[in-house]
Amino acid sequence: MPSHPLARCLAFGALCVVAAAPARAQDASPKLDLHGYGSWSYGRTSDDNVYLGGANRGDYRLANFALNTTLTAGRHLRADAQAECNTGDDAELVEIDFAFAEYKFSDQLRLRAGQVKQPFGIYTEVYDVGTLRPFLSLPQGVYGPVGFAGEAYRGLGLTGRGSVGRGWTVDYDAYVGGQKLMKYHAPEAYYRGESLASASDETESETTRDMVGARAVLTTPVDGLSVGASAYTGTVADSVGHRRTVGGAQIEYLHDRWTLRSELAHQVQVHDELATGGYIEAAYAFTTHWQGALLYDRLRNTFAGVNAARAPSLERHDEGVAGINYWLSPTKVVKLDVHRVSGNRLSTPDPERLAEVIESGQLRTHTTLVRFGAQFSF
Amino acid sequence: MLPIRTAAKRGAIRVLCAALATCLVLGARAAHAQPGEYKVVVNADNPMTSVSRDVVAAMFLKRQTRWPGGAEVTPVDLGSASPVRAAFSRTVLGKQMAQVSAYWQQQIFSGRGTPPPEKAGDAAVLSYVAASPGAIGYVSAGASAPGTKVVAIRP
Repeated sequence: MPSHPLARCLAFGALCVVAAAPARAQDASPKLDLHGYGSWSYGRTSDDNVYLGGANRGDYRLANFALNTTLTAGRHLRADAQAECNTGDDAELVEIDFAFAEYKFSDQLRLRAGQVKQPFGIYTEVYDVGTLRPFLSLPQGVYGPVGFAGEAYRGLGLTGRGSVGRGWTVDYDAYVGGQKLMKYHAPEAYYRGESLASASDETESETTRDMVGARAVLTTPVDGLSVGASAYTGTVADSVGHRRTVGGAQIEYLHDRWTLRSELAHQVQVHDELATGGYIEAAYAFTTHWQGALLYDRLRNTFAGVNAARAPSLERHDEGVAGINYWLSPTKVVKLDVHRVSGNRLSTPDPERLAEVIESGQLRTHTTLVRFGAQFSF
Repeated sequence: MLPIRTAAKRGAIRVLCAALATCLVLGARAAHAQPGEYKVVVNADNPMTSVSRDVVAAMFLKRQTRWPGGAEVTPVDLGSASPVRAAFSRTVLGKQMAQVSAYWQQQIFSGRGTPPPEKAGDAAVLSYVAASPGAIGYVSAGASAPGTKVVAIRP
């Protein structure tokens, strides 16, 4: 296996294509569809804070590539799988995003089993697909590493679509199982006086068990307008077993040149933390190729039993983003984003230096980030 | 607002200039397809003579997967660069091609569905529809459609 991260990603992609090719060429049942997406970006921040892969010296290493396969076996049975490799910030990761089987009883009722994309909010199911959003990254107040939703649940789920009146339809999901999610742990670790000696201490992997969740999205008779709500609850798999409950609301309007989205999410982790995040995102296509976009994003996170007065900015995140995109086609885009962040919940110096920077009074609470990149799908 | 470091400013300006230059070069290559006219065809054995626009749209977006008689709907598209497809998407689906593409990306990458097969031209669409009992497709208005049946689209 090649040693360089990008070479490994390319080798991984080539292996997947080769593995898929014979089945695709047969053009007979069962049918295999192959799709994928990828992105690369460069980011530079205005100070020592690191945010969204951007650093003061500039960082060009953030890249990802994923392959998605769908195997359709007859009218009722389907299997979906997606593998993704990510590189950036001295780390590389190849992971299975989802792998599940689906049995379709009817359009109104489908049963899913396996590792399934978690249906929460607008973007969770397409978390890394850059051509489905106006900015290089998703709004961090809801989709950042703060733990509102994992990328997938492992268990059983029901999904379907039904008409609920003239011009109204509802898409629903209900599921049981467990999930694993990653949180940016540095602020809480600082408050609790925990070690931040290595890069692996930055993030915390958290498992939720005995989870029950649901999402309903209502498509209205107004062309392009939909509203929805999501929620799940479960037990955190730690020594105490605190309950974790997350809820969210969403509204989306997609019409001709306009794309408008807004979401609000709230998380309660008993005796541990509270979080509330939300955003408003608007994009307008000036021509077939040029698109402009604006975003306001906000997150408040409080940790139980800590003295946050030592560095209150570690519990908040406010962000404004302006972006301009050039779409070569609906599946290929070049993006330029300028972010202005206030707060340090998600934008901090290297975690191993965090305590030293705070205690010397040099923590910058405002960060400007410029990002440039390209994204594609097929 | 805290001052931004000079190096970061210079870096940001370089990135901006590079992005704008790239976009200008790419923009010079832009081209716009002109919409064409189309007619909707189904298999010759299909009893339907007309279908409402909403139902045709639901079939092509795979939101309706059965004909009224219970047969499975198998839609077929022209390629994404076809002006006939652009006209069909705009007037029947009510979406620009970019929106149709985004819809299918959403379906694919969330593991919810895959788009209809795409055929290279009218002849390939007609051949597919003639051979598949539940098929529905569209071709240029001027194309002859042997082995298939043209259905009217109701508003």
